[in-house]
Amino acid sequence: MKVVDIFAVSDSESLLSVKWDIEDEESDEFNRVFDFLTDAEMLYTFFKEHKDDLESGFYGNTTIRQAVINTRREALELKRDLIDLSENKSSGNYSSLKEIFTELSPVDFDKEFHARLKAYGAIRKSMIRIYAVRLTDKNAQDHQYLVTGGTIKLTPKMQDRDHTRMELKKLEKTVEYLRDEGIFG
Amino acid sequence: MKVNKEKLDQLIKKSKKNTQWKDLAEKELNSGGWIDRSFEIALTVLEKLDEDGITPSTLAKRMNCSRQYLNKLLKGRENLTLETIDKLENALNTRIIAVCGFVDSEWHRIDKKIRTSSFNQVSFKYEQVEKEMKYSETRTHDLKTSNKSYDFKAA
Repeated sequence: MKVVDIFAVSDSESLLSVKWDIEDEESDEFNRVFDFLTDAEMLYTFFKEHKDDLESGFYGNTTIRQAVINTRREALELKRDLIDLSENKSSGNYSSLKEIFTELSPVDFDKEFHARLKAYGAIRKSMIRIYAVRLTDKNAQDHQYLVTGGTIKLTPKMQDRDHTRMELKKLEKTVEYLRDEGIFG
Repeated sequence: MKVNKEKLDQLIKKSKKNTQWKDLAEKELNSGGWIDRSFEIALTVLEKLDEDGITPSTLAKRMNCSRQYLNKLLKGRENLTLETIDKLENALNTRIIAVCGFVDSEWHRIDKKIRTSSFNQVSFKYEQVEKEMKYSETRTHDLKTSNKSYDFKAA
């Protein structure tokens, strides 16, 4: 695992990303997730595979076409917010990275969950998720975030599906790495 | 959980910088409407492939392009030319984009039939050519009459 520096919002806020040592995967997680969330073929294939979840009513009655379009729109909006923040401007939806990332709920993570975070799209009942680990103490003034992955969540719990369970594992692996490096005590 | 600030600073210091993402994201976000249209076209093609049970490899063969190029196209970020869209329409035998006022025009339907005639409607093509010739003859005749009339008046 490697760490990639994505941008610094200010002296006190920055965003980094994990780059997993996976064969044929050249992107860091931050770029991989946004690539996935804006790729027509990947989104169409994903929603086709998870058609039952999509139609389960958790996100209302949505067609594959609408889900693909909405996902891309949300991802682009989040990208715009991050660009604005990276230029030290307040975005349309957020004024800091701290506002973008919220803690994972205990439902998704039942132990030391305070360091594991998620970011949504700006719309209500957003399907997109970007997962990160906070590298600083919860109440510290500096806020550094390490993106570990991201996906589309169509079920109430992360444990419900393989692809979201994988994201939990990635969060765990990252925390483990940070402990091994002596960053988390 | 305590954070070792010194070790964290060291980690950030030795991390690789990704300076490209912002330029690429800006380009994508400021590309105007074409990238949205490209995405819509890719999505329409994906739906059509599913509907008709056509594989992307078959579509690439029909379009006479590589599978790699088709993969790029199906991401929905390519600035497609009219020629490529036309190839897609012919390969899928469907209309993907339309121009205002020309959607159901007579010439388009005739043109479409003439283009598809090489596969199975050869007779229609001949009929059409015959019709066109008759039209042309009538038009020449009309013009001649008109000229005569003009000449007569001029005389």
